[in-house]
Amino acid sequence: MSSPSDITGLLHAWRGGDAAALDELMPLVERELHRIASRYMGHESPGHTLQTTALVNEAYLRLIRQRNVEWQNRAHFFAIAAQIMRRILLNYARDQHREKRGGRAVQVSLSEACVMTAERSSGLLALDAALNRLEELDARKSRVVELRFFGGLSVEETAEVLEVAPVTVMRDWRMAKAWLAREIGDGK
Amino acid sequence: MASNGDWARVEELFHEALQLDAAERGDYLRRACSGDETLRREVESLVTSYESQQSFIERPALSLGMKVISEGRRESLAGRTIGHYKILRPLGRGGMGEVYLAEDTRLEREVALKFLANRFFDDEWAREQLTKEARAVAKLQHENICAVHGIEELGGHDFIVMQYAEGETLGELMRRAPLPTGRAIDLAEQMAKALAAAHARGVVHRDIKPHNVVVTPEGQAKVLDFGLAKFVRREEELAGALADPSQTSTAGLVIGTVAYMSPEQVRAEEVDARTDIFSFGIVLYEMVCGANPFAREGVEEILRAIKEDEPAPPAEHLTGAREALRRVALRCLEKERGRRFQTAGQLLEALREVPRADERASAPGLVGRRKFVLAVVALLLVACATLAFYFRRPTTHALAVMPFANETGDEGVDYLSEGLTQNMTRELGQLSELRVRPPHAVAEYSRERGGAGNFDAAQAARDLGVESVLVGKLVRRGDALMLDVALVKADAGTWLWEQSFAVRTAEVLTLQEQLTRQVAEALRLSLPGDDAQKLARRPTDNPEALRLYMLGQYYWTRRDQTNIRTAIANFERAVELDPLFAQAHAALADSYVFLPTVAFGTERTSDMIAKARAAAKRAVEIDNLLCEAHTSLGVIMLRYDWDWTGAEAEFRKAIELKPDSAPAHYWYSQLLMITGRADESLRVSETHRTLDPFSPPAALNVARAHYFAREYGRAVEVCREVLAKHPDSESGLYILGLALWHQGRGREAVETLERLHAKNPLYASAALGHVYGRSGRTNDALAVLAWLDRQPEGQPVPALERAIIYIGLGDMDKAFAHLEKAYAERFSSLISIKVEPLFDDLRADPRFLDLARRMDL
Repeated sequence: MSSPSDITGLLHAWRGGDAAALDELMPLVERELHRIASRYMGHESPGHTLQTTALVNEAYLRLIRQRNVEWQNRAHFFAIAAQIMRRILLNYARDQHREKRGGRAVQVSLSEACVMTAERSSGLLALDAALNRLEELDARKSRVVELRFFGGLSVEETAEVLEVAPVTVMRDWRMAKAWLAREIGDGK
Repeated sequence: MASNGDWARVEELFHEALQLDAAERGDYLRRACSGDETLRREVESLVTSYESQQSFIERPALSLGMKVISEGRRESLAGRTIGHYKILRPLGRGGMGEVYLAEDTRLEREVALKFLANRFFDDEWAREQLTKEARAVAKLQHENICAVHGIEELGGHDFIVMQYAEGETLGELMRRAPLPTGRAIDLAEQMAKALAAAHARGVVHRDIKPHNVVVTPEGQAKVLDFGLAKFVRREEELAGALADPSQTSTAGLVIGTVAYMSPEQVRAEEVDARTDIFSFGIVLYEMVCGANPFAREGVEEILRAIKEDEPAPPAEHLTGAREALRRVALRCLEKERGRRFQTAGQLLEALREVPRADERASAPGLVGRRKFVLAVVALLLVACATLAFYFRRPTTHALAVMPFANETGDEGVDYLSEGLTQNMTRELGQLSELRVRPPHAVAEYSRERGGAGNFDAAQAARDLGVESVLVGKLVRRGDALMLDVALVKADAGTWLWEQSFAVRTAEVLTLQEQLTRQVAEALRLSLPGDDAQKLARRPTDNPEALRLYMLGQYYWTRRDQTNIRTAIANFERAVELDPLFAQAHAALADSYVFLPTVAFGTERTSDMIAKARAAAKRAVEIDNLLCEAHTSLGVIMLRYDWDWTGAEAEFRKAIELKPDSAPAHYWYSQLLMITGRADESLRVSETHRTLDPFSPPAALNVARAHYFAREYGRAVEVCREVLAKHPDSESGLYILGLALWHQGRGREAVETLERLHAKNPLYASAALGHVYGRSGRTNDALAVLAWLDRQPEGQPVPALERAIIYIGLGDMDKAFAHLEKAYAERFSSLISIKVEPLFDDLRADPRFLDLARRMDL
C-alpha cells in the first residue's frame, strides 16, 4: 500500500501535468469511492438519485482522515473524482457496446448489467467523443461539463476548481450544452 | 463548425440571443450578423439545440458511476506493474473480478492474478475470512488443483496470486467437440482426485463447473478457484435476476452461473463436500451425454429443475462405458445428499470401476488384468497424442493482420492505426514460421466490407485463406491511447489471445516487439535464433523518427502530389533524426521516384532520381538485409539506369530476404517482362498475385505479362475480371483496349480506349491515337496529336506517346525521331520496347535494332 507521502507526491506530480501520476492516484481514490459506494448503493433502488455528491464528499473526508494526505482542497479531490468517473463510465459503456455488437460474451454479474442500458451506453460514448472535440475548441468548457456531469459538482464548486467566477461557469455550461447536444444530434 | 476566431463571437451572440424572447431572436441575429449567413445559422442552430434539449446532461452521471464502481468493474490493468508483478494480459473475468496473466519478476514465473472487487474488503471481517480461506487453499498442493500462492494487497489493489494453468477450460473443450469416452473418464478421475484432496483439508469448492476446470495441452485437468466461490454473493445476484424480469438479455450469463448449482444451494442451505459432488455430477453428465441434464429456458426454470426434476435422459441410447459413466453421474445427482456418493473418494472408486473400452465391458474375471493392460494402452495413446501434438507443428502458419480500426474519433491518429497495422505486418513477416498476407490484399478485403472493424474476424480469416487473423483497434481510454488487439483463429472463431496495449509514441517500438512475441507465443511458433535476432533488430531506436516514418507512410499510401510531398518531408525529417534508419531511407527513395509521376513538370525527373538513388544506396549500406532497400534500388536501376543485370540482382536479393514481399515480386516480374522472359514473368507475376490476392494492380500485372507474351485472350480475361469489380481501373481499360485491338476486335478496342480517354486523356492518348491511325481514322489520330501539342509547358514531353501514334499513322521517320527523344530523356516507359506489340512494325528497321542495342535489350 502506498504511503501518504507517496500520495502527496503523486498529487503534486498530477498537478504538474503528469498523466502517469493520475494513473497511480486513480486506484486509491477509486477504492475510497468504492468503499463508500458499495455501502450505500446496494440499498438504493434503481432510478432513485441518492445524494451521491455526499458520498464523494465522504470519500474525500476519509482519505484526509485516514491517510493524512495533503489534498490541496476539496475541489481538487472532486476534480480527480470527476475524471475517474468519466473514465470508469466510458470504459463501462464501451464494454457494453462491444458486447452488444456481438463480441464475446463476457461474464457480468446481474446487478452490474442492470446499471446501464444500451442506449445509455452509446449515448455516453457519443458524449465522450463530442467532449473530446469540444476540448480542442474550448478546453475550459469541456472541463466544466466533465466536472458537472461526471463529477456532480455544483456551479460554485466548479467555479472553485477552475478558478473562475460562477457566472462564467454558467455561461460555459449553457454554451457547452447547446454545442454538445447539437453535435451528438448531428452524429445520429 | 466555426473556426477558432469565430468561436468567441458565436458564443457572445448565443448568450445575447438566449436573453431575448424567442420572437425577437430572429431579427436580432439578422442584425447582429449583418449578412454573415454562416455565423447566423451557427448561432441559431445552437440556440435551437439549447432550447430543445433543456434536460440534456443536467442530471449528473455520478450516481451511475458510483453504481458501476460499487460493482467493482475496473479498467484493464494490462501493461501495468504492481509491486513485483508485471501484468501481461487479461485472462478473463469471473464473479470475483478480473483475472490477469502476470509475471512475478522476483520468482521469474508466470502467475495468474485475480483482482478482487473491492466489496470483499468492505469490512475487516470479510477480509479476514478471505485471507483465512486463501491460507487454507494455499495448503492444497495437488497436481489437479490450480495452486493459490498467496493473497496480496499492493498499490491499492487486492488480489489473489494463483498458479497460471495454460490450456482450455473444460467448457471450451466440450463446446468444440464431444469428448471421447476415454478422455471423459480420464478428466473425471482427475477432477474427483482434486475434490478428494480439497475435501480432505476441509475446503469445499462450491462452484464446480466446466469453466472452472482448465485442461492443459498435456491433458492434465486443473480445478480453479477452490473455496473462493463463497465470497461471491450469488444468492443476491439470483434474487436480483428473479426479481427483475427485464433481465432476459443477460440470462445467458446467469445460466452459466446457476446451471451447475446443487439443490441445497438453490434453497440457500448449508453446503458441504457433497454439494461439490452434485455439481460434479452435472459436469460428468454433460461430458457423457453432451448436454446439461437441467438445461431449461430461463433461470427460474433451471432452478426449479435442479430442485425437482430427474436428469433429462440422453438424446441417444448409451451403451458400455458411456452408460456406466452416466450411472455414476446419476448417483451424484441424487437430490438428497445422503443418497449421493458421500465422499469424493467413493466417487473416484466408482469411476475406476468404469470399463475402459466398450467391447470388453462384459468379460468378468478378466476385467482386472484387462483393465490394467488397457490403462497402459490408454496411457500410451495419450502419450502419443501428446507427442504428436508437440511434433506436428505446421512448418508455417498463415496469418493476416487486419487493418486496425481507429475508434478514437480522432483522425489525427489515423497514421498510428495504419502505421501499426503496417509495422505489425512487417514485423510478423520477419518470422520464418509465419506467412503473413501482404497489407494490400488485406486492406482491399477490408475496404470491400466497408472498412476496418466491419467484418467478422473468423470469416475474414477463412476468406483470406489464413489460419488466423490479428485484429485490433485504437481507442482512447481517459488520457491514454490504447491498442486493443486479438488473435482469432479461422476455425470456429476461437480467440487465441487478446490484449490491450498503451500506445505511447515513445514506446511504439517496444509495443511492436511485445505484440510480435505475444503472437508468436499464442501461435506456439518458435523464435529460433535467427528470428529472435531479426526481432531484436529495431528499425530505429529513435521514437520520434519512427513516428515521422509512420506519418510518412500514411501519406505515401495516399498518392497525390501534396501527400507525396508531405511523405517526403516526414521521411527526410526521420532520417535527419536517425541517419541510420534504413527503412526511412528506402521509403524516401520510393517517394522521390514516385514524385515526378504525380507532379508533372514541377520537379526535374533527373534531380529526383539522383536523390532517390542516393537514398536507396544509403539504405542498402546501412542495412544490407533490408528487403525494401534492395527493392528500391532495383526499381531505380530498372526504370532509370536501364541496368537489367543490376536490377535483377537487387530484386532477387530482396525476394531472398523476404520471400513474400509483394513489391519485390511485382518489380521483378516487370524486369522479366521487358527483357522478354515471358514464362518467368508469368510465373513471378502469378506469385505476386497470390501474395496480393485482392489487389487490382497485381491482377493487371498478370494481364500485362500475358499481353507482352502476346496471349491476348488471357489478358482480356484477366482485365475483364478486374473491371467487373473495379470498373474505373484505368490500367485495366488500357491493357484491355490494346489486347482487344491485337485480337482484331477493333470496334471494342476503340470503345474501351475511348472510355479510358474520358477518364484520363493523357494516359489514353498513345493507344487511342495509334488505333485511330491504324483504323484509317487519320483525322482523329491527328486530333490526339494536336491535343498533346496543346498540353501546357511542364507536362512531361510525351515523346513516346507521339512515337506510338506516328507508328499508327505509318509515319516511321517521325516515330523514330520521337523515340530518340524519349531515349535521350531516359523516359522510363521506353523500357518496354522489346516486348510491346505496338512496336512490332518497327522491329525489322535497323534504327530500331540500334536503339534496342543501345538499351541492351
